[in-house]
Amino acid sequence: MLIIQGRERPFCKEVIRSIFKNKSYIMLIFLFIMLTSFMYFFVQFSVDKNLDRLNTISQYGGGGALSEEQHALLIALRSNASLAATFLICLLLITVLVTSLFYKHYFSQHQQEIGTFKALGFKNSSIIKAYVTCTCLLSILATVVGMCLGWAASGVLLQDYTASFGITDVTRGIHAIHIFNGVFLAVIVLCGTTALSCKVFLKKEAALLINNSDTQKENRIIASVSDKIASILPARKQFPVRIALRKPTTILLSILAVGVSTSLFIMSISLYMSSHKVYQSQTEGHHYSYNIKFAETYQEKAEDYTDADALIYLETPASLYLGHSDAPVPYQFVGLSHTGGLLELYDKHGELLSIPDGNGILIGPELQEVYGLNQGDIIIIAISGESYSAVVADVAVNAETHHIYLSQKQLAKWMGIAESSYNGLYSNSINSPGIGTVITQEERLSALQKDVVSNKMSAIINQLLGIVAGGILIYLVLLLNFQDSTKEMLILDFLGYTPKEINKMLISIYRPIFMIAFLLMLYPSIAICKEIQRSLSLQTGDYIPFQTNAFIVFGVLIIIQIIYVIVESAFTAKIRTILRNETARQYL
Amino acid sequence: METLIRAEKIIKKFNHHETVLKGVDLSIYRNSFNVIIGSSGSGKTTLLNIMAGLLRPTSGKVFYQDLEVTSLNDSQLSKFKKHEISSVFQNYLLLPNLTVAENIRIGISQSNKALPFKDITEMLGIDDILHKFPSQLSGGQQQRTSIARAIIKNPKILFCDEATGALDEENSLRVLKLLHLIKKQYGITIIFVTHNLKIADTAERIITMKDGFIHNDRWNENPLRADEIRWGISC
Repeated sequence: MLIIQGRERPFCKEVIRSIFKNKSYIMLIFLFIMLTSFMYFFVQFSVDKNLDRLNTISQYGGGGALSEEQHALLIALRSNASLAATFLICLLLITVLVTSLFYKHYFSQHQQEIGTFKALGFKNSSIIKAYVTCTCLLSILATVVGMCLGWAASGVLLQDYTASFGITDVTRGIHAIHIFNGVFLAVIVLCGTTALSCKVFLKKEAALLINNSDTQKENRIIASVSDKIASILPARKQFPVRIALRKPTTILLSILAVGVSTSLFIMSISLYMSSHKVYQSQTEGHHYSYNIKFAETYQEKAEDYTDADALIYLETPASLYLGHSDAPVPYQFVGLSHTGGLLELYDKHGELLSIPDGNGILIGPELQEVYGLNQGDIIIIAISGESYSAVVADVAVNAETHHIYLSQKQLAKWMGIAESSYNGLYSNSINSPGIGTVITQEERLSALQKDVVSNKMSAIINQLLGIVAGGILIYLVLLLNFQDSTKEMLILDFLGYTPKEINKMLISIYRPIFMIAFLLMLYPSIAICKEIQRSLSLQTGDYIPFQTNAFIVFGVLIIIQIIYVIVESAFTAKIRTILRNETARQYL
Repeated sequence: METLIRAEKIIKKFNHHETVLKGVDLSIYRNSFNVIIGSSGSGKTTLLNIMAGLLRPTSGKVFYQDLEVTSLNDSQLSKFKKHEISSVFQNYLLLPNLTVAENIRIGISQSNKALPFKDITEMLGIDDILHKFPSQLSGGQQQRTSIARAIIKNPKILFCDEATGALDEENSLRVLKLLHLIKKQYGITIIFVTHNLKIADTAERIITMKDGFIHNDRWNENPLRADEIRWGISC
């Protein structure tokens, strides 16, 4: 903890008062830090103890010690923990951006104050210490509040685990290291950000600070570039564009904020839709009511079944060597004589796929999206300890997760058994009950539904927080942009420009800028989200398909525009109040 | 003499308590150089701001010719500020992201016949810094730019609030000379608020304010020329 003694005590008080006078910014930063912490603890409190318990059972009880429900929960918990860590890092980075933006704005507005501190003999380190204390107090308070709220809200997730997986003994708990991550990591990172922001600013000499001197270098290049860009626009647009483009930092920040927010929006919605997509894709084309798995392999066609109501298959576990790491990826290989009827596999255009000949295989979309496999690629597989090569013939969009389809004959050949061998069948009736394990369509759908629910619930608050965080970020950056124009607005008012003219010159210009920023950042945002979801799928082994469409993109644009209108209205109302209350001179 | 702007029974209270102006009557005549002097808190800047339409009085009226300024709505007031008057402030109030040339041009009012840009910039000695930004200028250069912006639209009245307050003697003198020249050359009425008695000596009319009232209002029979001021003696 920072110890403040002697004359530094009143100085520190002054700094704290000055910082906390910026109520709206402080509230937004507090909210950001609190949301970051809440999001993390909300998940982590519901994960740690349960994950420990399931890991222990799995470790000491052998592979089969976990029930199916427990195994499903284990995967969900791992997935949630990865998601929580990813969101923590993302939101923390955004909070760093927000904090540094705030301090940049604050320091430029309080140059004289800080110059006076320096002139009074306070060392840079003392000044830094005072500001770091402010951030420290704010971030500790926010993270602790976030942690408490997260603890309370984690009950929702625990209830959901019970409802989805039928496991009643789920408990709430957290590791000390995760408390450190959620509270102290944020505090340390934000204090570091503050110290760095101060350090950059304090390089300026005291006299220059006191005189409010702007040490900006000749910015003729920026001026000439902005003039050139403005000159190609209609005359009435030229002036505002020129002014806006002469603030390159503001433009860059706007682009960055729009990019980050767009990514958060798109990722949040994509996560929400991904589980539904998985459910939908695995129910399409699967027209059988029963999946019967036999304990042994048969050669002869089961007499009780006709071709019309049964499709036999040969299934075996296999390992894929995908070149991303040395560790093989476990997959189920399903050998079929044909598709159609009970099981129809489709390509991305909705065309029915047939089973490829020879060593051709049909993969699911997760191998394409997560591991980058495409038609024609050759992969090494291992079946019963022997390695073979297989060629990706096509991508079946409705393939079961972690399943690969190929010719029954080829699979039998690799397994070293007779070509006509099978050990399971898809059917609409059970004519020989008791000969194998039967998974009914209801059971299969119910298992898929559980995944959907667990994925939805596990991430739903994170996703909402992503949207909230994106919204706050846009709000904050717009507010900062507008606030930077306050003085200019008041000067123009003195010169006799009407509020409408002033808005056109200094404020309205940010709407097209944000629009262009959105268009510029849309593709990178989508690429980033895809990559994040791919990494999550790789980490957890849980396929999370990336989902977006024109409606989502349009929706994001609308959200940004709505936030713009809200901030613009709030800001212009504030300026009107300043003018009506005759306090304009205080701002000049 | 023709009255250009007239303040009648102006009272101004701030925060419902502090009465800064306690019933001021003042008429300013066309093409005159007027200085309002007074100590801090005497109400001189508040009076200037009310006459310039930058503040509304608690009671009382301001007339610009036949137009009642104090009854104008926001948009009419903007029009008044844009076309009829100009203000120059101690802290220049230049737009930081505009060059000197652009800062001046932003002062041009479309309905007025603007004064020749080149003449103004040459007269004020800023024709060689037109491409620069305010942050690259000295205080004197910034103030001259601010004056150029104020007079380019050929206003009827120029309000100056401590316009030399942040400048050294040399630059103060230069600005003062320019203001006298502007008044003479373009017939612009000048109302200059200052606490500097030496500046007051150059004015045709000296209005002294004290405790929210006009304490003294006199015509200066023998105004000094700006270059006759001896800065070192007193201020």
